[in-house]
Amino acid sequence: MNSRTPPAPGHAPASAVWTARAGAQPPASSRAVSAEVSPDEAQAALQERPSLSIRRQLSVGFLLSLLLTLALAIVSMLMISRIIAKLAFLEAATNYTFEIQEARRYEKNYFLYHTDLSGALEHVRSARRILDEEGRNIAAVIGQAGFDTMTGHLKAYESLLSRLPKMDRGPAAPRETSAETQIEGQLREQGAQIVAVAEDLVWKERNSVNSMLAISQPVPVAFLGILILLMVYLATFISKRVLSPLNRMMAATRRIAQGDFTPLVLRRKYRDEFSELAMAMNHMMHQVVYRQELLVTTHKLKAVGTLTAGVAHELNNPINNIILTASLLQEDFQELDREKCLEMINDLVAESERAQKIVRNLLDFARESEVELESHQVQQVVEETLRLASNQIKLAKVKVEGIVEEHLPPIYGDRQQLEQVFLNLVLNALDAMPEGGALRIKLSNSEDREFVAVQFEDTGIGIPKQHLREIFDPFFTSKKAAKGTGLGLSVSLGIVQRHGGDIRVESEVGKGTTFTVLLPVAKVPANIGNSSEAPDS
Amino acid sequence: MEKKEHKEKATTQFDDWMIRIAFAEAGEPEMGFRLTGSEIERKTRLALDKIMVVRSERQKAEGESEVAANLGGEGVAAEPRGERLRVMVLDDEPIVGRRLHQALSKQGIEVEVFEDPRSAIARLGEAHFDVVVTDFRMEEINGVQVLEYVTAHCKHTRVILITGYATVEVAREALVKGAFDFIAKPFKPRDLRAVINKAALSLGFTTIE
Repeated sequence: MNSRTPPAPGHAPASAVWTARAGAQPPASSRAVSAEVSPDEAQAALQERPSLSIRRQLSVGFLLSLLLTLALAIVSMLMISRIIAKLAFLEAATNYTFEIQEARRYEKNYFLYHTDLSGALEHVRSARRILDEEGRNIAAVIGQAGFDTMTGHLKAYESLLSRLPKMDRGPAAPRETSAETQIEGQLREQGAQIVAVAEDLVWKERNSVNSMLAISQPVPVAFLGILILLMVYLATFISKRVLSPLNRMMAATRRIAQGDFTPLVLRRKYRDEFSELAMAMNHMMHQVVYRQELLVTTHKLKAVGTLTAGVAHELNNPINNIILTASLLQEDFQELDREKCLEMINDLVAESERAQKIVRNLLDFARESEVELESHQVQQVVEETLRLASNQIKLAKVKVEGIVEEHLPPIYGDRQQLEQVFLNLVLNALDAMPEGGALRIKLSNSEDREFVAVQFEDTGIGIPKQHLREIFDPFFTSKKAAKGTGLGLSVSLGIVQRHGGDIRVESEVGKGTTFTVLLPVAKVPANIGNSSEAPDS
Repeated sequence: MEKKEHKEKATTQFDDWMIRIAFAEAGEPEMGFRLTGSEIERKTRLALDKIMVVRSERQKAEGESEVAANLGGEGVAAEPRGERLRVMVLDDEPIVGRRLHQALSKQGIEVEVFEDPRSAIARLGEAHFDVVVTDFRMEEINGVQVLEYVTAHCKHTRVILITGYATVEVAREALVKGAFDFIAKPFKPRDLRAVINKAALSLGFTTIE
C-alpha cells in the first residue's frame, strides 16, 4: 500500500536536475538549487528586454478596428448623401426635360393649330427656373461650357417664342409668313437641341448614379474583409501572446510543484505582463528555495539537538573514566609504581580519544557546509549515519541489522544532506519503538538498476492508514508537542526529490513501518573512483 | 574534616533532590520560577509532604528491621558482618571497575568488581555485600533491576546507583525503589567514598579509614 505515487522508476523524474547535470560535467561544488541560469541572471535578462505590454498591443488593435468601422460608417454616409443629392438632381433634370418637351408640344400646337403660345412660354419659364436652381449641379455634370450653351439655347428659344405672338396675324392670314417660317425653323432647331441636351443630361446623370451605386456596393465588403483580417490577427495575437505564455506558466508551475526550481528564462524579445509574472515567479522560487534551505537547516539543528542529548549521555562514560583515573593518579602519585602509572596514563589517553570520537561525528554532521555533490557508496553514508545515531540507538535498546546487496552502484549527492535524511528515518524508527525492537536496513538495487533503494524497516507501532498520506506534509507530527517539529519527513522528501529520488512508505499498525529511499544511481563512471575517498571511521 | 561531616548525619543526594521531585510531582519542572503561584506552591508542598512520608516510612521500616535484627540475637545477626566493609562494584565500563577497586581497596574495603550484571546477581546470591555500587544504564539488566533484586533478597545491603545524568525521573525511581543514594557521573573517587561512608555508618560500621 503505497501511499505516495512517485515517478515510476525507469524514466528519470522531472526534477532530476542534478542527475542531468551530473551527466555533463559534475561540478566540484555548487548550491543545490542553482541550475543553468542563476536566479539573478534570469531576472536581469527578463528585465533587460524592451517593454511591449500586451495591454498596449491590445489597445492598438481594438482602436484600429474601431477606426475602421468608423471610417466605413462615414464613407457609407457620404456616399448615400451624394446618391440622394444625385437622385434629387436627376429628378430636376427629368423635370427640366419634361418642361422643355411640354413647351415644344405647345409650340408644335401653335404652329399646327394656332393655339395660344402662353402655355409654351410658361413651361419654358419653369424650365428656366429649374436651370437657375440646379445650375451649379448641371455645370458640375456637363461642365460650365455645356451649361452656358444650355442656358444660351434656352434663352434663344424663349426669345424666339416671345417674338412669335408679336406677329399679328389674323385668323385668315396666310398660314405661313416668311418671318414666321424663319422663326419656326429656328425654334425647331433650338428646341431639338435643348431636348437633346436635356436628354443627354438625364442620361449622364443616370449613368453617374449607377456608377456611384456600383462603387458603393463593394466598399462595405472591402471593409468587412479588412475587419476580418484584423480580427484574425487579434485572435492569433491573443493566443500567441496570452495563451502560449499562460501554458508555459502552467508547465512551469507543474515543474515547480515537482521541486525543480530552475528559474524561468526569456523566450521573447520584448517584455510584457508575463515577464512581470515570470519575474514574480522567479522571485517566489528564489524565496521558496531560500525557505527550504532554512527548513533543512532548522531541521538539521533539531536533529543535532536530539543527537546532542545522546552524545551528552555517552560522553559521561569516558569523562567519568578520565576523572576517576586522573583523580587517583593525583591522590596516589607518590605510591604508584611506574608501570601502574603508565597504565593509568594510557587509559587517560584512550578515554580522551573515545570522547573525541563521540563528539567528532556530531561535529562533522553539524558543521555548516556548502552542498557538495559527489558520488558516494550508500553503505558508507548509512554507516556514518548509524555511527552518528549510535548513542540514540543504544539508549533506545534497538538492534540494528544491515543487509547489503553486492555490487551496489554509487549514488550521486550531498553526503551531509543524505545523512540528514537517513538520520531522520533512523531517529523516527527509534521513536516508533519506545520499548526497543529491531531496525533492519536493507540496501538494494531497484529492478531497472536506475535507483539504489535504502530500506528502513522497524518493528514499531506503525502508522495508521489515514495518516500515511499526511506524514510528508510539513508540520504534520504524531509526536507530542515540543517533541517533534513535523518537519523531518517533509524536509527529507524535499532533499531526496532534489536528488532526483523519492521516499515511499509502507506501514501496518502494530507491526512496523518500512521507509524506502530511492536514490538515482550516479551515471558518470569516472566519478566512481572518488567514492573510495570518503572518510572512513 | 571529612570524618566530621560524615558523623553528623547521613545526608544523601535525595535530600537535595526532594524539592525538585516535589516540583515535578506538582507539574512544574522549572523549579522555583513560579513559587509565588499559590496553586503550584500548594501542589508542591503536598507532593513534598507525600515524599517525606514515603521516605520516613522507609527509614522507619529499615530501623525496625535493624532493631529486630539486633533484638533477634546472634541468630539473625549472624548475617556475616565482617570486620571489613564488603563492596560490590557493578559497571559495564571496565575502567570504572579498575579504578574503583583501586580507590576503595586502599581504604581497607573489600571490593569485588563486575562488568556483567548477570554474574553480579549470581554472586549476590552466594555472598553478602554491605554496599552495592551499580551503574544505572547497562545492557540487558539495568541498575534499577539490580536494585530491585537487592531490596528483595538482601535486606542489609545498601545500594548506591551511578547515573549518567541525574534527572528527576531517575531520582524519583531510585528513591521509590529504595536505593540508599545515587551519584551522578562524572564523579571523583572522593565523592563515592563519602557516599559509601554514609552507607557504612547507616549499617553500623564505624567510619572507614
